[in-house]
Amino acid sequence: MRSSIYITCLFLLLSCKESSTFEGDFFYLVNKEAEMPVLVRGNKNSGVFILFIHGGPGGTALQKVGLPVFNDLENSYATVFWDQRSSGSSQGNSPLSLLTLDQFIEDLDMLVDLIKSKYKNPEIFFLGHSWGGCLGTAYLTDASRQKKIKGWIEADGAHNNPKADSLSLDWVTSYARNQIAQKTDVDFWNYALSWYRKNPNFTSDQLEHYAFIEKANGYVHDPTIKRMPASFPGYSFDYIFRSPADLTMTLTNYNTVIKHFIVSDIDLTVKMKNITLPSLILWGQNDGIIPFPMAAQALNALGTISSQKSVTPLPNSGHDGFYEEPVLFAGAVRAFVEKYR
Amino acid sequence: MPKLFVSALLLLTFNLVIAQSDSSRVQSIGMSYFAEGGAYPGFTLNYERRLLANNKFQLLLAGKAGAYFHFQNHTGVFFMVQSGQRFRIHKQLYFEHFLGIGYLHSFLSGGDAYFVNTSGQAQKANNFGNPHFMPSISFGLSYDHLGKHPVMVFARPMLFWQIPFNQASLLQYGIELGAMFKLKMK
Repeated sequence: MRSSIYITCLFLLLSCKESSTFEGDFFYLVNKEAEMPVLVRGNKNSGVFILFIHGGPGGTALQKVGLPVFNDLENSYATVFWDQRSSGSSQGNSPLSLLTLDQFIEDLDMLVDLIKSKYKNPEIFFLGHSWGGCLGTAYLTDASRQKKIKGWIEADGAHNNPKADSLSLDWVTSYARNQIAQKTDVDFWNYALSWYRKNPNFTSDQLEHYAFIEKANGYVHDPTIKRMPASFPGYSFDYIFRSPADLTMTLTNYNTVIKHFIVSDIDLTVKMKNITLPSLILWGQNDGIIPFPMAAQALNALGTISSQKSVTPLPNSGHDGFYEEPVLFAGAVRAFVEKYR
Repeated sequence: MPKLFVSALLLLTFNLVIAQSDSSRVQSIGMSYFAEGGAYPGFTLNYERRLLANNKFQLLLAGKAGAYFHFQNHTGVFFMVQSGQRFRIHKQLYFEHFLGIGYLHSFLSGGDAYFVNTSGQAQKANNFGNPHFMPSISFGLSYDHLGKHPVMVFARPMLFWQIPFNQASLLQYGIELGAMFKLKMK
């Protein structure tokens, strides 16, 4: 009996947490049966908060914590990592009927109000990546909401899904034909081409398209970066065991959202003329999901005056430039924030 | 999955009927360290009743109550009933498995919860938690230490479900390391 007590105490001691990468202010935003984790890090006294809007839909912001690009920015500004409704490590029992763009906008608006209330009305810059580019764009097309935000940074954003999917189809089929001509993975790429012939109007719940993009290095242009945990944390030990994130929640939520929230028809191009904020567009030149021509499309669609909007290409990046070119990415964000804060 | 849990219910009912038919069954109580996700600490308090037994096999009815603490994610408090079987592998070493049905209540942990009212003001939200149905499967090994102070020690990985979780079933896993002590029956 006594030995059992000693063993139990030993296990409890071993379970105590050491300090982790995920230190910061941690709290939840609760709205309509969604319980969404929020982590605020960095220089909160700066009065400037960069709110990261993650991709997906159904992705996660918490996986980006600790990346070199954000560690750099956190020396000067605060960063806000928020897992959206039914995404990442969000909990609760959000109804499927609330997986809509309008509901995600409402949640984001509440988060903005919460940050302003909690941190004495700081200046907020949005940084929207991929689906986060769509959500951020949709949020900013409303004038009253736009007034709450100081600047808009779109990184490989999905502001026009039909056009992006069309360009992505061209991108991957061109890559496939090139690989077949070089006699590389011929069977795989022939299968990909036949899949696209059968599914010319694929939608965001058809994961085959994303698998082909991954194989073609359209997400991460240089796949060797995946072997560097400091640059590409992925599912690191810290992420799995020492963070607010829960891997099984992240995978379950992704599976739910990707099936029930189809975003393929969302095109915000016409409404983008209502966005007059200073805007920075960051884009990987080797992006296979939302190819580089979409950057110019965003620039032209925005209502911002010419002197306050620009495109910064990331020449050695795919879809996830903040992994691949963190110095260039952080430098562009910093210059933009400093100009307009 | 539904068939699995109907089977578990039928087995539990069968075990309860057997339990009623003979009162001189071996009973044990104990506790265990329970690590949710393999890393987040918790504990269980356990009860076990041996319904049928011979030299190589035991049919079991068990109950469990426990909690675990997943820092900055959730705290879980649960109870369950289980039906199990234990098979002698070698001398005092056994292989065992259990099917369980139970209730889990999860509470947000690690930070305050906020909502924003219609005036745009942030207010703290209550954290009454979320209810879940908690079916489970566990397998493991146990060692029955005989002697002056008999004790059975065990190691059991467990799969359990949190239902509902954002309109889906969330599969979780844990591991139990514990000990059971036979109750002396008069």
